[in-house]
Amino acid sequence: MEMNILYYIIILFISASAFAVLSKKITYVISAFGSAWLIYLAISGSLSDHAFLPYFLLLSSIVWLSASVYSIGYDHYGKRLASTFALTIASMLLILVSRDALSFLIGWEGMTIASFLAISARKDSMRAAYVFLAFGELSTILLMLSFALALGTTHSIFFAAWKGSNMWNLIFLFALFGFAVKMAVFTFHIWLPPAHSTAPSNMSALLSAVLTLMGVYGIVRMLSIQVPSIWVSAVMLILGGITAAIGSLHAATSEKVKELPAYSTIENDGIIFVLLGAYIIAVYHHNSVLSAFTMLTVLFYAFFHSISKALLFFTAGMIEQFSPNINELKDVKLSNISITSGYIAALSLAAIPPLPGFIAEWMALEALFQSFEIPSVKYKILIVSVGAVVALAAGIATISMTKMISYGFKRSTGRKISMVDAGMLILLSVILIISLFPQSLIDFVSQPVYSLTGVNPAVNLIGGALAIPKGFLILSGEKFGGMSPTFVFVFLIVLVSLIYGISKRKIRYTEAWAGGGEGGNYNSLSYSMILRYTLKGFYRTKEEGCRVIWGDIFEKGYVVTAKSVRYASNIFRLYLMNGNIGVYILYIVTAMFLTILYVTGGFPYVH
Amino acid sequence: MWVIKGLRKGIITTKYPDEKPTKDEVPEIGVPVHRHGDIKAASGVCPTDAISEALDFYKCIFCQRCEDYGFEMTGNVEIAEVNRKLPFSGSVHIFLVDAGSCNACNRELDMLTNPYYDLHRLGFFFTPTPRHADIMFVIGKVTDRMVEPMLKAYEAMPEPKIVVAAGSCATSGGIFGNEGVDRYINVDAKISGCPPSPIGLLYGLLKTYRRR
Repeated sequence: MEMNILYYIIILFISASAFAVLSKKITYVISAFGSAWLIYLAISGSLSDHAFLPYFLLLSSIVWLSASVYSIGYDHYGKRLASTFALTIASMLLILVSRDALSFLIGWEGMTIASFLAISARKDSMRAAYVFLAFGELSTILLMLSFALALGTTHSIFFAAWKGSNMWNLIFLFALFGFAVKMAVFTFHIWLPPAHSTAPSNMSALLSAVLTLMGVYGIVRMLSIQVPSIWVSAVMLILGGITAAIGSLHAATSEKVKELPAYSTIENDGIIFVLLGAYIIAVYHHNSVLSAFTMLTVLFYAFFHSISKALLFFTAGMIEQFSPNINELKDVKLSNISITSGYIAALSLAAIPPLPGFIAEWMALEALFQSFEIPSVKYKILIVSVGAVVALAAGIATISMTKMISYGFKRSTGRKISMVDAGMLILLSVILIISLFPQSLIDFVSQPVYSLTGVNPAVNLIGGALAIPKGFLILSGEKFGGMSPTFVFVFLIVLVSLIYGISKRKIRYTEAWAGGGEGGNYNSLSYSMILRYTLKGFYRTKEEGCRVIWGDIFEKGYVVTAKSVRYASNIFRLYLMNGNIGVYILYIVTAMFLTILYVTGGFPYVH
Repeated sequence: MWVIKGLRKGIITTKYPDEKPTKDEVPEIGVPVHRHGDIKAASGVCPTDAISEALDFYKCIFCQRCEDYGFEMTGNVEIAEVNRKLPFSGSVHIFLVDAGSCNACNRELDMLTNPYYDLHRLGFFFTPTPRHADIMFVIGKVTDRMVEPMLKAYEAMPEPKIVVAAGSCATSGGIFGNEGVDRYINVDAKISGCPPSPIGLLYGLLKTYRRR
């Protein structure tokens, strides 16, 4: 019965998008109301017999609610953005709700197309939107292949009936790559930075936080049907590790306000991909505690990433109105709530305690470094190497986030509070609640993890030790490690207050030292120049005239591939199918000759 | 091979300030000291007007013209005055501001880090940024364009900080004028000489410690 409510809510969102004809604000208000209703449904437990649906629904609708409230104050792009915004949410809801392949695909395509229309709402974003659409269609094609295979082998389109299919590895692999394209994993990552940076910011938040979350949801859904063979996890680990490194390195040297968080999304999705691979390995070796912890980490990491990234995109959207380049930001005006949100979001993504990013990063590294429990040597080495790359990526993320803070939020001055701040306030309070009480989230998701792996996180992975009361310590396995984020938070507050109270508090403000000359400022281009210079080969850094040029070599690779395909097809068009009747007759005669030879057995190997 | 050479040579660092400076460490010219005769007669011959009632050591440039008028060139180079000391000793960082010198003071300062004088054993270090500095060491006659960088460097230094002016150009303008660094900023210590010999510099720097 509860599923019927969800279908009605989908219709509610679709009608909200129709209302945009009248007024944008009505659309956003209706979608905010719908999202709040979804949050209530997810928390109230009426959907609790649907595996991972309540958890992902809760996460998505928190982002939807705050994005809708933010859009009430942000949107100045016209009615098309408002209606496609609501349509995107409707399609995503359909994806979450679907239990068969057909509605899943309808939702997937609807999400891609609606997002495409929303991204192209800006005048100069057509190319980025088109690349987004192309890769979106690639992911749909891969999903269709996978679902068609499943339908062929099990004769059913319902997910629940696919368990035990005899081509599961291939089915899973195709679906995995379909979801990987949407998560912007390595070799499919080039669409994300242009699409996210040229989209309007409420859409960017939606794309980055929820669209990529749909990829994670899809993979978790497939994993809960059946786990594939272990070699699939090697693919996931390697691709995910490279993705994390690439995303992090490019974020650290990015000079555009919205491109930096986009690359950070690529990095975080890479880490989630790695964790899903580690989950498969843990399940294969029947280590139920480790697999439960790894799945818990995947879910927590997805939660932290969506919330923090959406908040960062909100604040970046406010900054972007002053200049899209970090280097040229001057006299940025942000309200105090926006500045605080920017700080907290960026610090969370840089994995600074006590914020959720720190907890998620700790859990991820604990999950990866418990690979010593895996008996197989090559997978042990693989996981540890990828774990080192993940740690590197998390470290470099600090550079990009401090860049965002120092050049974006730190230099902002006051401005009145407006509706955009209400949207940010929702996410800010969720972040702070989760930093203080992550156990509540773990309890919320423990039932589906228990039914998947046989270990209930609420019982086995939350405990107490020494002075910490039972229920506040997160354990990363049997007798491995533990951390209590609640007490880290409390300890930090106590420590900071003590230091502040004891200090003399004499502050003198001076200019930056620049050799005594003019303009003593360390600008953002030189902040990351060390990275660009020492990793010259990776960025292909070049100095031309007075400018420095660097870029993503894979993007250039795609452009080169596209050009050579077009070149080849031009040659085909001009020289082979050139319109000359005589040549066509020659082709027909040759084909007839070869066919006769083949049929009558003229070829020695055909019998 | 240089290890064996070094071991054979032994320790060459000077024992100053624990012992008095030897004859080799003192420049041959020395500082003029009035022995006999009327000091007023010599006041016209000094190019920097250092001689009036007594010899102003901070203006003297050692041209030796006053030798004929009853001055004797001695070897005492330990002439420095300190108004304000640093509240600590050991690990003192010096930021050098060359406000337009002839580079002679620079060379003498360079000699302080060679193995013979070895500034580091006394706890002084040079730093390239004022943010880490305790002493701003000014040499040279402050030219117009160096006023602003010098003041900005002082502004960029954290408390506690002192300004040391070394050489006759910095302390009193030398042959270039009548005013030294104290025209622009409060000078806490002065070291005389043109250029100040390494022993003189060490003497002045050691006086800025709290202990001496």
